Amino acid sequence: MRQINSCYGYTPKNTGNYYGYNYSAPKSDILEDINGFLIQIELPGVKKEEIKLSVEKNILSIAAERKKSAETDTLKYKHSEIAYGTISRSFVLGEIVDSEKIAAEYSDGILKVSIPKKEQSKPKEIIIN
Amino acid sequence: MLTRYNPFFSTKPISRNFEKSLFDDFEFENSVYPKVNIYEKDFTLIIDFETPGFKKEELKITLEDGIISVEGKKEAASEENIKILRREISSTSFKRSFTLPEEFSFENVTAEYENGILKVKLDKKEKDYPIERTIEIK
Repeated sequence: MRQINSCYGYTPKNTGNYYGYNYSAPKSDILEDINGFLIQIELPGVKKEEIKLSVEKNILSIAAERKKSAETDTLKYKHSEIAYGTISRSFVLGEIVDSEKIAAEYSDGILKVSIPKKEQSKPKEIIIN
Repeated sequence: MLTRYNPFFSTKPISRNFEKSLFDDFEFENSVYPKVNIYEKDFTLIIDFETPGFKKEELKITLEDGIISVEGKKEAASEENIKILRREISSTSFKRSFTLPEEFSFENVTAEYENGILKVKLDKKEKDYPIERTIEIK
């Protein structure tokens, strides 16, 4: 499994202005065990309903919008590190993955996407007679 | 040059991050601090801490000597039989503190946690600290 919007292995920063456009990739962990993969994506401040998770061909995409509330502009900001805007990140799924069985859950600002491997791709133990 | 003292910002991290964009991650040495937004709304000071991955029970807010601290500590998940292909979310503990301006009191502090954002609200003291004062010259 590989991600397509990492730039030459460079971890994208949470927010920032890259290559002249406003680009924001959430931090992610990718874990693997014998049954499949688990991607954990940081999406703090985003409601479950605002997350769009999709698979097209072999690309898994996560998109979310961290909206400013109507009153944001009227607030007196003292200090601001958390930015608003579009968040997106994509991952390339390998051949061994069963994309029909992808499941996701969201809690405490972390989206967990579990991607099972195809049965025939799982390691098998061969019994010696 | 005379600069205004900003109680929300200590000077040390500023100098180290001088050349970095304000919107970059706040990384001091090896630890990553949770990002914060601080703003005022109707005589209430609100501090938003971005702490994704922490459960409500894993966060602790302490108030002491005019300093408000938020701590988070969680157990690292078991990594037995797990291969890590990419690790960007690393922090299992953090602490970030702020000195409060005197016009805010610790008496009425509330906090709520939703979707990885901890919102701490503090009320302004009632009329204790007038914004403008005239000082008599003797």
